[in-house]
Amino acid sequence: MSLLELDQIKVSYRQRGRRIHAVRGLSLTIESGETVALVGESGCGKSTTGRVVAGLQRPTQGSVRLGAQAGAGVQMVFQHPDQSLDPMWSVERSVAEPLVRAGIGDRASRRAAVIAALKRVGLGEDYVRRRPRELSGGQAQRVAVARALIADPSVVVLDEPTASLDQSVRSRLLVMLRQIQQDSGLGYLFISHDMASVRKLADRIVVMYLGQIVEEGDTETVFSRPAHPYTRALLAAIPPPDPHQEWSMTVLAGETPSATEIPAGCPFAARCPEVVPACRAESPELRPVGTGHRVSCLLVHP
Amino acid sequence: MTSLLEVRGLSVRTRAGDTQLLRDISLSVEEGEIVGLVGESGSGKSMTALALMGLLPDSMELLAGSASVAGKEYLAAGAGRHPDLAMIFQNARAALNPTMPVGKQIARICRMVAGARRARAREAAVELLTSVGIPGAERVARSYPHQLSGGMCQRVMIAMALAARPKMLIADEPTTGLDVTVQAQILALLAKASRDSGLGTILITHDLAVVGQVCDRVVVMYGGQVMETAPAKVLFDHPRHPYTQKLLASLSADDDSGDHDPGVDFSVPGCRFVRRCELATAACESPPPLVTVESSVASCHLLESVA
Repeated sequence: MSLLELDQIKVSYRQRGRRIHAVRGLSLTIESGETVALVGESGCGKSTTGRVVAGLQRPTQGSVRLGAQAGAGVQMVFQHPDQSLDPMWSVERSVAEPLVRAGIGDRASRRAAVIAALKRVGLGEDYVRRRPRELSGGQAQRVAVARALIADPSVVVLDEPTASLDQSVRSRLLVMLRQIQQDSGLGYLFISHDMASVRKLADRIVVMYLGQIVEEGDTETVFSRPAHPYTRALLAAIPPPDPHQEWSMTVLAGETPSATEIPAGCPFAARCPEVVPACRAESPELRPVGTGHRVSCLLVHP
Repeated sequence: MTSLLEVRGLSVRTRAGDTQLLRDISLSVEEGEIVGLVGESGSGKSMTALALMGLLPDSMELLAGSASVAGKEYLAAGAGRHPDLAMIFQNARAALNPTMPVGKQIARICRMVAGARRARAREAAVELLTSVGIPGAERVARSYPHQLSGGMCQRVMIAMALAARPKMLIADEPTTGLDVTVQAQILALLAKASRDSGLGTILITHDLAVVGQVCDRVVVMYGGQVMETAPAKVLFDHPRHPYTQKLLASLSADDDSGDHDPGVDFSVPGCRFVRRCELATAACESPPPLVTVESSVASCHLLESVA
């Protein structure tokens, strides 16, 4: 049984008198020890999906099921550690908070748990007394990870955890996250628009566009054989790390259409370089094209 | 023949006089060239840009140094900002006036700089918005910043910077926080401006892949000092300075050995990288010399024997 199962999740809400369709029928699973990356442009619904998984947002329709062996459910690590830690609280108090809330343990046992959690993220005992302002960005994000780990969750939602960090600090945080996962069998839902980080951490990639999955597959398949024109455009937009490798700077025109007016047919049709008339009439379904590889495009056949 | 932008010995310290945040920064940008300014948070990249723009915070002061654009000295002369120099910032929406339609903000600059009349300035604003790849520029010109996406605001700011017809542009992390698709659009736009109109650009970024792809030359900073300057591809193939080598190696880090940064000691008279440098010797306690190795220039005692 999976650690987590999302079944046909829909989320819509009203904003300034208009209905926003943030997530439109999304299903996914996370297995033990697996990292599933959610990628796509701003407004594609990836953060909303993360909030649904973390229990911070109630889906309008669909169900979220946690596996039977699940520990204390789902925890979340946010993008800006400086904003997600209370500036007045010591590291000890912030990291212990999930235990305090759940009424677990006494002061002494919680302190021991805090020290153990800090150790898992590579921080020594001397950090317990520090305040957020005495931490670098990378250290603060490690504290946020320790806080997520302390209550023994089965799944951690990582919402752009490296976006505000320097590249060198970023790589080390990813290595740490992977080590923790290997030791514990944690599942990660990794939300990121940094494809280099996704490639390093994810086992499976789910590409979203306008609240729906357009492609999913294991990391190697998606990077080496992207099938959906949107996935290809997204990958082409990443500057290759090797300066000798030619980069065409292929520009995907326009921006994601607004989630208030969902177009008929394929949601990507308006920007798709390979669009044919049928794309504007018929909504493509997510169909398997290979092992664990599914694509929603009329032009892609198994 | 002098460069389009020529910066010599730029030093900045806190007004309290206790900390010298920038020490002896020298760099140059040629016409049509994109120069990357890279380094970790706190390396002084943005401070360098603010000093060149005459926008240092009140708590900082210029200690020494000169800068010229197209041969015209302006920094040492106390002339404030150079009219041929423009800057764009990371958070474009915050840098725009929230109470005014964006077209009007651009038109005002056209009137101030080019002395255009009101109607002509309005047309020029729409033309500029079109030139930075904004579809439906007429409609966007009437929009307020909060009605536009982050990528759209960044394009508006570029249009605004170009409205002043600068010869030099300083772009401080212009794509941080934007989607990769929008980043590619913005970078293509900057590359086009340098290619078509000879605009010189300083691109401040911490993304080395971006540097490798769009920059002609790179200036690597650490602790308020220039560590190394080299043609972009040369820097990646043959990093000379121990810091540059460490920076490039960190990208492929496969262990969490935690290079715990002891922080920069701004009071040391010598190389500011000395506390993190595994190769440091006693000589590194004195100011490092500039050493030229082929097309690279590095500021390091250890390279003296190589050169």
